[in-house]
Amino acid sequence: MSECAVEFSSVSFGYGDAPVLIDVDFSIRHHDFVGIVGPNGGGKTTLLKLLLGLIEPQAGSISVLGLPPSRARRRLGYVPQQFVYDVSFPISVLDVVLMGRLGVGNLVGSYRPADVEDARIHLEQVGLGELMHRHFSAMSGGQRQRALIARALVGHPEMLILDEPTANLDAQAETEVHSLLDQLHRTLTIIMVTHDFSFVSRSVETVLCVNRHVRRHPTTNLEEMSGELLSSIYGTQLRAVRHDQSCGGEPHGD
Amino acid sequence: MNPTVTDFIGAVGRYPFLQYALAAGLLASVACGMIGSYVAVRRITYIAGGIAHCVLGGLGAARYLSVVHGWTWLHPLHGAVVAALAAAVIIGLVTLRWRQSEDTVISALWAVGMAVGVLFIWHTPGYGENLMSYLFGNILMVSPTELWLLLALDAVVVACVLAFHRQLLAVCFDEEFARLRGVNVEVFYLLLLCLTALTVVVLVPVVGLVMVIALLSLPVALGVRLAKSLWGVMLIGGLLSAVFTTAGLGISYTADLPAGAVTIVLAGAVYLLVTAGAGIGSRLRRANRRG
Repeated sequence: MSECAVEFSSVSFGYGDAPVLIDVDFSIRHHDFVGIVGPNGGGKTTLLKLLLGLIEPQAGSISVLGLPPSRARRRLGYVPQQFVYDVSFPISVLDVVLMGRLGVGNLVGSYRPADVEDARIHLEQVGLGELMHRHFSAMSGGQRQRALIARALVGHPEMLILDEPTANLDAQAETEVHSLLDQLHRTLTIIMVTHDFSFVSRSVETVLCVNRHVRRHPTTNLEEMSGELLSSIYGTQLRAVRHDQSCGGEPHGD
Repeated sequence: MNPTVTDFIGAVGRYPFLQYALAAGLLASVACGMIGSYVAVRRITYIAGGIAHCVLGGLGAARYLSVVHGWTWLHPLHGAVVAALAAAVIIGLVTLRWRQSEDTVISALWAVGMAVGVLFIWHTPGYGENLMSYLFGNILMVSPTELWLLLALDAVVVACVLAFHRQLLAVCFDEEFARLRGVNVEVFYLLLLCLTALTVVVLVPVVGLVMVIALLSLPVALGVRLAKSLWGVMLIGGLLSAVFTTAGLGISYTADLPAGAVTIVLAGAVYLLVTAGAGIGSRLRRANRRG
């Protein structure tokens, strides 16, 4: 097993002439719980796409679990942002979760009984065991989010990557998703994009501030930098100016 | 007096051409239910329409080669298969690479495919009436040779769906996640378009290429309202298209009307009634709750 779960070295990426991420350096250790924060358009989703190998960096290199991202993919569990699904799509919760077993076993034919059993176990883990045969669109927002987490878990990932898992959820559903993540963190490295400051300060161990550049903060001395973190989450002009002056991957809170 | 339903059933027992027509309708329904379901959930009906109209180019070219150049072994449906697959691959590659020109390319293929067909038919002596049967279907003219070809195309469609349903479903539902699970999204998208092309060819003798998309989309649209899995949609869609094609054939025989058109009007009427009924039903329920 490699030393770091994730390592970005001098990574840059842009769409056309517009740079999105510039000279990004950071590393994430195994079993860390990382919150990625930053203003909209600051490059959070781009960072995740690079991490998942959906796009290639224009400069620099990325290693995930000691491999290039596209080869590490199947060992990652991914929960997409504000999942846009078709409300009329005829699919059961179980069938959604089973998609997490694609790429395991045979190319041809249906899912094996072991796959279905695995999906059932993970649906129970996220508290949806009773509802597995229901129509996916008949679920509440929180239930759907938990089903998508089960879909990510059913591939037995070493790392869970979530893009704003509690966006558009009510307070109750948000709490349920948070406590599920706290529980999963006991066995998994978790990386999540979030706007949720209270959760960042309570559960997350490392914060990555992403706004064209990436800066890493441990949350142990969160009190000292909470003002900066807040402005980074909500993306003020002040923050953008400061980023232009300093960057780098070293945890500057130490 | 017009013949009745019992007369129709009796006639099916007596006349092979009615048996062939019935078989063609049932074979078409299998592919129609299966592939129509993916087409509906992936929302590529417009692509299916483009492929269907391109088929005229293939039908016309094959007929031309057979009549003018003596390639008598070449059946128009062979040309249809080639044209449909070519259109599927071209549209597939364009939508994967240059998504912004997707609409233009589909529209261009749609019209150019038809134009090529019309030119070939113009240059083929003595077979002008074939144009009508390609465009609007002529299920009563289906021959045993054609039935074998439809059966073979059906077999390919069913085998591919049974083998790759997991991947096709994932590509329709959540392409990005499928890619992250190691599914070759591009290959399965192209496979889906090629299966759509084969299904279009199976439907052409039944309702004609102009009306293919109605039979491809209406029965499964009713299925989507009722079923909670894609297998359920396929089953309901397949059964309904079997009902529509059989009833269409029966009505057309008893009332002496063109079968393809009757089938489509029937499917459209049922769809409209069900949709309107569901709309009124949900309004009444809401009114009851308020009252």
